[in-house]
Amino acid sequence: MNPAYLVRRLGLFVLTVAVGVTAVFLLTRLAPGDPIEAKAIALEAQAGNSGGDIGPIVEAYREKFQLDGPLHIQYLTYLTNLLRGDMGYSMTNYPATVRDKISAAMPWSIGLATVTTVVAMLFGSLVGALIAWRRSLLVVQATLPVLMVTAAVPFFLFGLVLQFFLGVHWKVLPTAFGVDPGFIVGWNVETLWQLTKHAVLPATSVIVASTGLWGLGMRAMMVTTAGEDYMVLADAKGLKERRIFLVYAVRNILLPQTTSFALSLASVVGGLLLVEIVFNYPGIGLLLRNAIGESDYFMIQGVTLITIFAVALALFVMDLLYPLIDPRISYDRT
Amino acid sequence: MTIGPTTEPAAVATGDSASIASGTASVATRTYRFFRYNMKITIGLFLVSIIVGFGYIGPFFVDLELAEVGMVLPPGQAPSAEHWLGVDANGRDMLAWLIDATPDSLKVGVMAGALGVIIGASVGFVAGYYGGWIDTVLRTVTDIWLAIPGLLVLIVLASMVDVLTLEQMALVIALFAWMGAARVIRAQVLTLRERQYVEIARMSGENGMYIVFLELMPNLMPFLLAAFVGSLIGSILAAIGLEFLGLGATHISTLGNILYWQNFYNAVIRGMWWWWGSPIVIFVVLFAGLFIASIGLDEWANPRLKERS
Repeated sequence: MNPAYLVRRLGLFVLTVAVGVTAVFLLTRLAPGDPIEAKAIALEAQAGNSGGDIGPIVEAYREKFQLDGPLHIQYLTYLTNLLRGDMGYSMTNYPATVRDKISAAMPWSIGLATVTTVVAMLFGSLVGALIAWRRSLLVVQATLPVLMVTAAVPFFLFGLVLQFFLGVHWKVLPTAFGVDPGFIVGWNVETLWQLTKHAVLPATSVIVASTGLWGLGMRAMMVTTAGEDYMVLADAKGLKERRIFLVYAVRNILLPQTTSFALSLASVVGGLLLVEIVFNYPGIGLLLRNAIGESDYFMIQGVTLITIFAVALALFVMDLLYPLIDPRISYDRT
Repeated sequence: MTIGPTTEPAAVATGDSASIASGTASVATRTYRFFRYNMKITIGLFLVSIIVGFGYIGPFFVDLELAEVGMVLPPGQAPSAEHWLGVDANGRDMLAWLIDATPDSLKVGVMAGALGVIIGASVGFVAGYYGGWIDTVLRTVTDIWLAIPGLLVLIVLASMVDVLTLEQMALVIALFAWMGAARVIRAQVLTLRERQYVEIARMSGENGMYIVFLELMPNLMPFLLAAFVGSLIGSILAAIGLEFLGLGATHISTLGNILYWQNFYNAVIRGMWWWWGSPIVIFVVLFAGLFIASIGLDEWANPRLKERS
């Protein structure tokens, strides 16, 4: 691999993270309203007092969370803390740190995201390619309008529908949580069963919706590819149908498909978080929802930062893996 | 070209057979031919207009006061002849609530979508037209923006302020709804600026802005429209996401707001299907309409995407 390319791509990765981190810093520091003060007033009201002098409490919190210096000093502290992986304490679950909470939630989100992406990509691409393939069954070709609807509707709306029918109405699958309440996770078959059972509904809602997106992208590309000369040649050579379809058509489209997926990854992640909320799935989406409900600003900030980082990292890794999917891309000459 | 007398013939190769015959036809005939030929745009617009009609004509038939808390008792009724879409757990008539909420949801989307296209088109124009280091900088900015999950940044912003007005919400959403437009427009301007008529305008000493707005803009109309619908979809999605989390314009009824409350009161688990079901139907029709229209617009802008039959 060309080192110049690697450096450039790494630079973009660092820049993306830096922009995200700075944006979050500026938003939280410059927005009107003082979260610390609001928090103190809320705590006071909770304890049944009001109108007392909250000044000292606010000051103490400010110092504790290092919100009392001039802006550039705050920014430097914030950056150095982040570099050490320190995202502060959860304001509502003190002394739990934001980092602990996120590390506990992250595996759930990553698991859900990986499984759904892989399944949707394989299934969606196949369906999309088959719809455009003029020799496939009419039944398959007729599913195009269905794809258009599923691609258009946000993930979590499917979640609501699935939750109602499969979870509430027919009671076949659990409607919430990562495992049954009170279940102790361990390395055994029972755990695997629990995990699968609880992940089916959230995963399905994402898969159904994103199958539409993959499928439509694939179909559009297939339509243009079908007219290419090399396709006609392959046909004329009398190659097997399956070989033309998989090796000549599908393989050539996979790269642009992956590119368009990379472009939409950031918004897909947003949709995933909402699905977790619908199903009370214990990932970072739920963490975020609770943090919003409790005005836990450091947690909101932490979840946002980690997600920005994760998406940027995923895109970076994907770019490096391109040559493996498509030999036409080579980073040796630029 | 089949639409609009202002566009130059053959400026953008839309390649439709109707365009050749359209030279002498009346505006009505040309409009008809356009919609007849671009079926996806027609179907999409039809679906969207159902929802627009629902929100804007509905108030003439349904008393919107029924949408207020406690107006209908007992609360939690299933749909009946009297309350077509049922009643929520707080005595709000669902039909009235939905009619009340639809226009505001559409407004946020249209405002943010339009703003997003204006920002994106400007970025794309400048990047594509001037090229060089300006292009490099703007493209990098676009790439960075694309890689940042907008919804989360919006959440951070919205959670810092108590409540946002519709306009403020549209403004912040637009900050994450311009990248698609920027990419498409840049790519088009790159090919257009080498065309001869642009060259002639440049040689006759017209300034950059004149060329951009009077020579390039008309040819980009199909792309701008397609980009607008794309950014409209993204904006409505972002708005729903925020509202579903209980953020944004919480003081007015929007469709996302209804979803927040049904989630808050566990409508799904309690079997109150009319509470979440009816907003979903609206969303499905609206998004399907917008999405089909956007595919249609893409095909109109770039006929190579259209199936060869």
